[in-house]
Amino acid sequence: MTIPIDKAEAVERIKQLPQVRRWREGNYEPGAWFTSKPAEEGGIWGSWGHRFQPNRRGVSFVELNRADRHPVPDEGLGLLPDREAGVEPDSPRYDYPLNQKYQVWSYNVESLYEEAVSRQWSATRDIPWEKLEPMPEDQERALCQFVSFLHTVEFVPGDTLPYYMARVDPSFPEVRLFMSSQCADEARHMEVFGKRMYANGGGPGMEPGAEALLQFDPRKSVLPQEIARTVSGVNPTWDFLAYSYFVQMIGEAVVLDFFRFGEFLGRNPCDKEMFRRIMQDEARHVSFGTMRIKYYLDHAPRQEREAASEMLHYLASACEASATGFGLLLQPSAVEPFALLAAGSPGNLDKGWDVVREFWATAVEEYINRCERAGIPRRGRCMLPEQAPF
Amino acid sequence: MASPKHVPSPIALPPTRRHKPVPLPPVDEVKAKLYDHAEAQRIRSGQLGEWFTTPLAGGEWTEWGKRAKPDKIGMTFMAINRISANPEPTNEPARRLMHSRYIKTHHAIDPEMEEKIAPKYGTPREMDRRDQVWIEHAAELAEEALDRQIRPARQLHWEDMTPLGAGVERAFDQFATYLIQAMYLCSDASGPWNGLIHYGFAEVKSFLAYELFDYNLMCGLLRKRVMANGGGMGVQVDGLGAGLIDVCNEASRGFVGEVEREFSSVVFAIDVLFNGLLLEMARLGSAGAHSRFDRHLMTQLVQDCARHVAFGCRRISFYLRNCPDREEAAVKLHLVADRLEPLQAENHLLNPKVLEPLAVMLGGGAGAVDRGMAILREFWPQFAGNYLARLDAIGLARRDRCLIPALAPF
Repeated sequence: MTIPIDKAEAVERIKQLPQVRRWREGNYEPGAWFTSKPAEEGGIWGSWGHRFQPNRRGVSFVELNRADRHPVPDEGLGLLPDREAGVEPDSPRYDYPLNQKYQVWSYNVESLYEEAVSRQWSATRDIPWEKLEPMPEDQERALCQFVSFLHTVEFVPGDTLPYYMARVDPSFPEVRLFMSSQCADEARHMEVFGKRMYANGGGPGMEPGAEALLQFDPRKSVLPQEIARTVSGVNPTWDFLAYSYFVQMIGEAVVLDFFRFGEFLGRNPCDKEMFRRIMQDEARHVSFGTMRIKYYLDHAPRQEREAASEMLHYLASACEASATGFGLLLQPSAVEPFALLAAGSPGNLDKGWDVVREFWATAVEEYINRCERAGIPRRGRCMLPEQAPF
Repeated sequence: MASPKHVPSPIALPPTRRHKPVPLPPVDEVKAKLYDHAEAQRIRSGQLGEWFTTPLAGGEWTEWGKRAKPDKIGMTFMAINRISANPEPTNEPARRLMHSRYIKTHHAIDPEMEEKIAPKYGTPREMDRRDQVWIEHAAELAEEALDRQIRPARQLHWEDMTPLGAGVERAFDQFATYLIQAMYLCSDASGPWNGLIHYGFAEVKSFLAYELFDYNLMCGLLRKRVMANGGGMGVQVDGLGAGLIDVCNEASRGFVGEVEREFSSVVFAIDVLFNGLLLEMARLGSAGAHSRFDRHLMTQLVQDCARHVAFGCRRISFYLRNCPDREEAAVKLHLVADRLEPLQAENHLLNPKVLEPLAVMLGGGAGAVDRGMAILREFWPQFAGNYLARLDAIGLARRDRCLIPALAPF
């Protein structure tokens, strides 16, 4: 495509466009988009005759897709709009890197997306900030340290998901749509935790990752450094399946357990409501990741299924034994505030640690069950101790 | 028939790679080592970390005792920024990856370690300067982005969707197919940039996440509308991304390598110019809508696009006023505009798969398409007019060189 260099040339080029010449002659007959038959009859128009009676929930993708006579295809069509769009015969097809249904689909993606849309909330308006009550100094400090940690963690998925969205063939809009809803969710979580830091007199806590960094001793590393490095942080060059495991199945699952515990420990309606809402969002993300991995393993060609399964088990072992699994469950900015919040006061800390030990056992058990559901059984192979190591 | 040509997906992205399994130590050995983890040892010793022992004033803890009061909207970014010691990001280079401006960096982490833990390229440290990222009134716009986002369950009345004549239904469906394609393009081109913006710019990151959701939320609604009212998806609009895709890919360099990237070019292309054109198209779509439901949908799209344009204008304006070399920056943006305007005029504004459906909708049916074209002819000056007015406002006047025709060329 050449670019005109000046106004005169631009004007001249436009005048010479076939449609402009036609329109200038007063011929406004719409083109083939208007007259062509649908693709299934050999034309360029996408599809026709879709009718759906909205119900009290409006129009949901769950029911709309069920009513559609064209199933979601196994392979993306390589077009720029959604599936069932039409295309001129000489138009190119776009090779989106993720163009197989098994690579992107999740069993429950339509219902999760609908839930995501209907449960959007506002950190500004929907949290009963006015119901915050002054807390004892040590309790407020614990809560602020915990939310300071969460405030930064919540940025991560939103930084990386858009890369994967742009790789997904638009024939699978539900997947793209769900991932975009997760980006909005994560932004809201980051926002609500930032606001909570300042809402009740505590203020931002100590840099959350600092202690772990200062404690770090490579000689005591559980995994060889070259392996630990490859799983220490997700980035957009990761394979999408590995990404889903890392972010949506282990990372967010542990964080979901944090939220559940946060809700349990909340001392006032504001904190409880904040964690309750975030928990709902996070549960959706974890569910998407889990059911996506399951769909992949259920539908990928045999050889790919075996390779993917081997990779997932490897990644799981490595992540469990490093920062995303064990390291996250032992993150000082999470577990220590938990213990103090559960104890109610520093003098009662032993009691608090008992509660955290229970939390640990539950979190690990739930993770193992989730892996089971996803089709990567980890019982007996999981590197995470089933009982807290303290 | 020859099989169609295959080309890469429009937006260039880094290739992905799969982890290669290598032998790991046995489970029991790992668990034994984990037991000796420094944090596990500390917990067993009954101690709490520095977060608990640091003084509440003068140590690692900051701003103890500050209490934000919700304003008349609620607990807004403005409410917390009013009391925060860091109400706006500074130009201080970021020293961490995952780090909010509200939280103090730890004094004991030395510069050598900082360099190791926070590589610059391909991370949120790439864009850590105000002139690269910030906008005036970022907090207000981020709040508005969420507040004004469509809540389909509450705001959309599907019962207002009425059966239309086949010609008008087909025209609306074609118009919606074009919009879906346009919004995927925006989402794909601008979405990945959020990962390169530092966490210190929380309000901007929030806004961009909501903008991404706006695009996709609207795509979902349009798809539902198209697939529910007797019609179906229309025809792909070839050439819609003319100029835009090249500008965005050149600006991002495919998000690969340790190179400087040009976020401002993408903001100009996607938010100022393309969303500006979509805004005008949505206004036309609203005028041509044949049911309350369709009109409502288009009105919402107008609002979304207006917000995205507002972000784009504020971003470019801030950039021009604060970048190291204003003149050079303006020249670069003019060159981007020089490339985009004619290609977008030819392939987008004059695309028959965009204008003809609008003409059918505006005219009231295929039989009155000439009336629709007359309305479009009358409306046409607003494409360039509104765009140029925005550019005047942000300090990038292009009245003497704009390549979008001022009058309809038909």
